[in-house]
Amino acid sequence: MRMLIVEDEAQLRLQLAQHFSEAGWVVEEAADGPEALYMGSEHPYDLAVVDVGLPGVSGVEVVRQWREQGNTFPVLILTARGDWQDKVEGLEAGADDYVTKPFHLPEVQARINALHRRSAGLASDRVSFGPITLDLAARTVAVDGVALDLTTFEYNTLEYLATRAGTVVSKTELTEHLYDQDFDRDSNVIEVFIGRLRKKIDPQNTLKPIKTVRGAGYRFVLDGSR
Amino acid sequence: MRKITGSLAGRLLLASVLILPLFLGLVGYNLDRSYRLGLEAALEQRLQLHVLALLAEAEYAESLWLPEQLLEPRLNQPDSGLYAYITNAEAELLWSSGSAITLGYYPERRNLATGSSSFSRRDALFDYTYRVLWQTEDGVEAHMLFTVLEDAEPLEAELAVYRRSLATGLGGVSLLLVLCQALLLYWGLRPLRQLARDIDDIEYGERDNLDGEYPSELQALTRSLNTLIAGERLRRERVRNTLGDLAHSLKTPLAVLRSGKPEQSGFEALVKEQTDLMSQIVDYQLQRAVGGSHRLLGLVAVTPVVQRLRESLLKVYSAKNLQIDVAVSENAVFRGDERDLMELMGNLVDNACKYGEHHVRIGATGGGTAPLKFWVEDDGEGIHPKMRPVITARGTRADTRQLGQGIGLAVAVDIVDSYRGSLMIDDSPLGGALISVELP
Repeated sequence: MRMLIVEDEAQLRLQLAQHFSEAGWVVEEAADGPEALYMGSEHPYDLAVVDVGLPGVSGVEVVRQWREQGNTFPVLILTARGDWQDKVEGLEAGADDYVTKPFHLPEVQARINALHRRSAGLASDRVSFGPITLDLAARTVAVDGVALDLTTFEYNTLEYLATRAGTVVSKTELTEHLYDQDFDRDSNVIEVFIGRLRKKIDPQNTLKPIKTVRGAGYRFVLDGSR
Repeated sequence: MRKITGSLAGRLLLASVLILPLFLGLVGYNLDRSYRLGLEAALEQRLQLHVLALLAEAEYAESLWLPEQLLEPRLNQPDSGLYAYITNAEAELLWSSGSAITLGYYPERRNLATGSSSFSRRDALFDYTYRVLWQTEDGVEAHMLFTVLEDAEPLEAELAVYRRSLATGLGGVSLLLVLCQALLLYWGLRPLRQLARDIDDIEYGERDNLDGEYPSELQALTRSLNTLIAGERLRRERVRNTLGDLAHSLKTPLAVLRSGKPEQSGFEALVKEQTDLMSQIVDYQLQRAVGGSHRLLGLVAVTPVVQRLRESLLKVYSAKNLQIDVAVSENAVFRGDERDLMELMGNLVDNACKYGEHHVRIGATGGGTAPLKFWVEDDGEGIHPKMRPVITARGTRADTRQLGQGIGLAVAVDIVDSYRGSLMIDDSPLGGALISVELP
């Protein structure tokens, strides 16, 4: 899950980045409008947090230009003034939700979870595929009610595949959305992760939820999946 | 030039300085002309008398005879400036006066009917000629022309004296006029200077508003200025109160925080609770300071504001599957600042979306000359009747509000207050709260 945080105040940006890295997101940061515009058009993100009061190009303008370029990832705007005029302008520009400063990180976290869930087309944080249940808010996975101990990467990989159940996800797409930019894309790390994930979810190899589509990527298929 | 036309007095003075010479010039020309005509008419009359005297002195038997010494001494004295000639119809000289010796033969042939006269100026002389038909006792008829000439110089001299005195007189008059005008301007523009001084006084805090007696032409201006000043003062007071309230209301949570002990359990929750409260207080007071009386602002159509809010809130609350119905009359207008309307409606509609289950209704009518009425209702739990007066009470301070109550309605109440409107809380037919607002 790749997230872009656009905030000019370094302290706050660091806090947000740290919080969401710990929460399992792949976080990238931009400190001003032009940088945000560049990054938004160059990299695929799953979500962006944008401060409205940016130097150079305002946050509202950044969101508007992203939308004009056809970017559809959910955007949460941070506004300091909290006037309805500002909120409405931000939402009209293409943002999906707002949080007024000062905020508590759990509040931002909750909004981001909701946006993330909404963009995945899910009505609830909890989504089940046969015996496998994912809790998107708590970032936990249980099989037959027994919680699994997954690493962040493993969880992200599973969530990414499960929320796109039935469709083929290429290795490139997985690396782009799940790992840092400096990740070696030619390595077979993905295959190693998938292998470990399969073993953890399905030690007896009876469910086989993650199929390999040769030459194309992976596909999550299980009873109860859409 | 720029500097002169930059002031009212300068413009008026410049105009009169340009126009005055034109008028006085015309007056001078006409006075000069009529005086000259008067002088010439008098001269003509005098010359006629001379001719009549000559006629009385002349005798004609076989030829014309006149006495050596005429009754008029100037006709006898050479170069006296008064000359007389008598000629026959063929302009042949019959007689000339003793004064005419140095002048030589002067008259010329002219066509004049018997008994008629001519008066004209020729060079430096005025010429009066009278044609008579002299019938002797023998019955002989003789046509003769009596010509009397008078030097023009005395008349010119008199005219020059007159012109000098006329110029002095008119000059004096124009000076007096300009002076009068300056005085009139000074007096006439005094209310404007007074107004400027009064505004200065207001600036230095020596007076509160423009309450003096101003001319009717200025009253529209002073009324508007008073409205502006009153609005500005209200705004200032509001900011002052806000700062006071802010300082005061932040001290309570600060005191709570200071007396808390980090090692105690629940300290973290206490910090969160108190900082939440402080953040709410700051938000609330800022909103209060922003709103204000804007009597001089224009009209804002309600429909687009409601539509924008509807679109935005549908996005924010997309998880709730809300139905937001809008029944705003097309010509509903709000007299004031668009930001205030957006803030007011935003808070009310946001609350309705937050507390409503699935259904929100927004309606508005009137505006312009009629009071603007609008209402927002939802199908939530509604607001308990006991809470209603607390929420709508004026000037309820943020630190007296309960945590979690939300500042949305308080801000809305403040904005409505600042426009001297009213806000009412009722039960909605949908099941939740019905908030209605009326703005004059």
